[in-house]
Amino acid sequence: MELAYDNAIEVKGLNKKYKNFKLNNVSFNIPKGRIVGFIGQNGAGKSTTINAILNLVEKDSGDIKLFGMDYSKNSMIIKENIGVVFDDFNFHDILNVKELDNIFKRLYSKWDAILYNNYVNSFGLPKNQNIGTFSKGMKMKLGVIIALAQKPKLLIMDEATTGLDVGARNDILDLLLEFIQDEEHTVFFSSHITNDLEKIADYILIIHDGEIIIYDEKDKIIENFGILKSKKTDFEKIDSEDIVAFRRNEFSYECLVSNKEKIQNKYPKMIVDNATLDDILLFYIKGEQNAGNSL
Amino acid sequence: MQGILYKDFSVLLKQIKPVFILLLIAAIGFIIYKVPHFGVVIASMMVGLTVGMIPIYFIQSDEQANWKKYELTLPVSKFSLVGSKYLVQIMGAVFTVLFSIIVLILEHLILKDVNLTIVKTSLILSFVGPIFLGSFIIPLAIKFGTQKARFMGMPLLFPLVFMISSFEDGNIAINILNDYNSFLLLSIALSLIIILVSYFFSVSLFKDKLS
Amino acid sequence: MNLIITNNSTKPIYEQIVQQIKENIMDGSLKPGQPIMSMRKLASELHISVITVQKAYESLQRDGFIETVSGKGTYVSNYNIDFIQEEHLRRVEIHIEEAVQIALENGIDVEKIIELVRLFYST
Repeated sequence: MELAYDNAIEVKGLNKKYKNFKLNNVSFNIPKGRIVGFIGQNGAGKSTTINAILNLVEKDSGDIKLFGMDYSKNSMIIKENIGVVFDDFNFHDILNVKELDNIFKRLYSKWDAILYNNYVNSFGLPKNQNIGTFSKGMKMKLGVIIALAQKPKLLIMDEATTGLDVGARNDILDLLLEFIQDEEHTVFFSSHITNDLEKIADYILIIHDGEIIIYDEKDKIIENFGILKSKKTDFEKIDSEDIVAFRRNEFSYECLVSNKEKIQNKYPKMIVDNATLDDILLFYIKGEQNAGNSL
Repeated sequence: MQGILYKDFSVLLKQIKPVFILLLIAAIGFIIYKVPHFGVVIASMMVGLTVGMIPIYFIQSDEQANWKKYELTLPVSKFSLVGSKYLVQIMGAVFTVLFSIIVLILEHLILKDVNLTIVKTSLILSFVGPIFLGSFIIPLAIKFGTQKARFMGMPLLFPLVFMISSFEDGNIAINILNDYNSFLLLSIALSLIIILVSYFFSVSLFKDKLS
Repeated sequence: MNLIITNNSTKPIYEQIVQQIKENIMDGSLKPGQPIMSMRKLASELHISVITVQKAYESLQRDGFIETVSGKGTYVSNYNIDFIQEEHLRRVEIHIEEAVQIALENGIDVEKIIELVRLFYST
């Protein structure tokens, strides 16, 4: 079936309350053909958001559309076109790679057994061994392969690279890059490993305490955000409007700013460093704000 | 549903160790030897009960694999997800019936005589036993998880075990069975109704959300 | 085609791509009419965002260095010599402007500059 849509995922006003935590008015669109990285602290709401997108939790309010469609009307079509990888490997230890092939070809009409076997071979995954004996890296690769062989239009991954060594992560990233060669394919993945996202993501979505704080092109975020470093005495001279958040240490104040160039021109004598995604997140998590504004 | 069934059977078949089968055969042989004729009924019930517990086993292995969450992202309706457990149950009942037939034939060859009541009872109980058991156990497992369901299912087994043990004297049993002949046929119809009701009940209990 | 990008430069990555592709075209390693890698493939090879490459390609296309044929792919433009010369001249202009700026700031005479230029030409 031909799907016509601009955004693979549309989230509007998502609210979900738990005992100690709340997703608050989360809204964003994931455009078709892009890789969107989703970062945030543990407990910030990444998994809840993803579970809501997958219709695995009952939301308090809000609209979620995938491929422009609603779960209430088109649940099966949506599910046929999403590939999912969670961080906890979801398949029975006692099965092997070949049996999984046989199971999935009966679950998905578009199952591509050739693709599955090619990937299995190129990663050297043993075909007749129980998958319970696989290392974590092998399991996650298998999880991604299974998702890809379903020929989805959208790949959703929830912390699927956590706990993997750099080699395994690289292999998975390569799989994603190959997947995205087709303009009709979209990737949405949450990760702690901002390093990976800094490389290949097109957009970055940052969530903190249940709210979306940043959503923009990765290039723009990296270009625009910076860290203004000042002596303690100079800190007073900085306009509080210019500061997103600040941290103090023994010798200096560090301020997260959201327009590096303008700030450098405004305070030519102070140092303005580049900020990585980790830096940005850390400032939101650990930083302070001047009295009057809360993070 | 095909895929789910295939998965369930793949998991099951890999778990059956030849040892268990031999033990089962030995146990059954012993019973039949000890209690001729009526022993077949007991053996049928035993196999039926074992088979009846299989859905618990599938659901448990799903729990261990964190499959439930993943299952909800599959393009499979909850009618199929639940239905596969029942289908397995029905297949199990058919298997038990076939098993009984084989044992009866063997017994006929060895003992040379056949008690019609025993034959009828064995066959009917082979079918009805797993169906009944499954109809109660499956919704319990779906609602409360397999740990609790096993625990709750125990009381069901007691009356059956009691019944079996109290009829060790085969002749008394046969006489009683002769009296209640017609009820046995009714039980087939009843079991089919119960499994249908159980199925729809299970579908309504089936949680398609994590929270 | 040779293409090396660095995270350590102050120059944004897309500008680096634009510059290097231009250089490849100018020194002839990319010939007119030659196909170049699709945006997505290049992004994948360089392990960078597609959007970055898209910006670079759009810039190159605006300046007439590459063109996209619908359904077929992206190619180096069939340019003429004048066009290349123009680009070379533009680069010379930038450098001269910089040099003149420094000279003005430091009180160096225009005649001195011209002398230097002649000197470089003769070597």
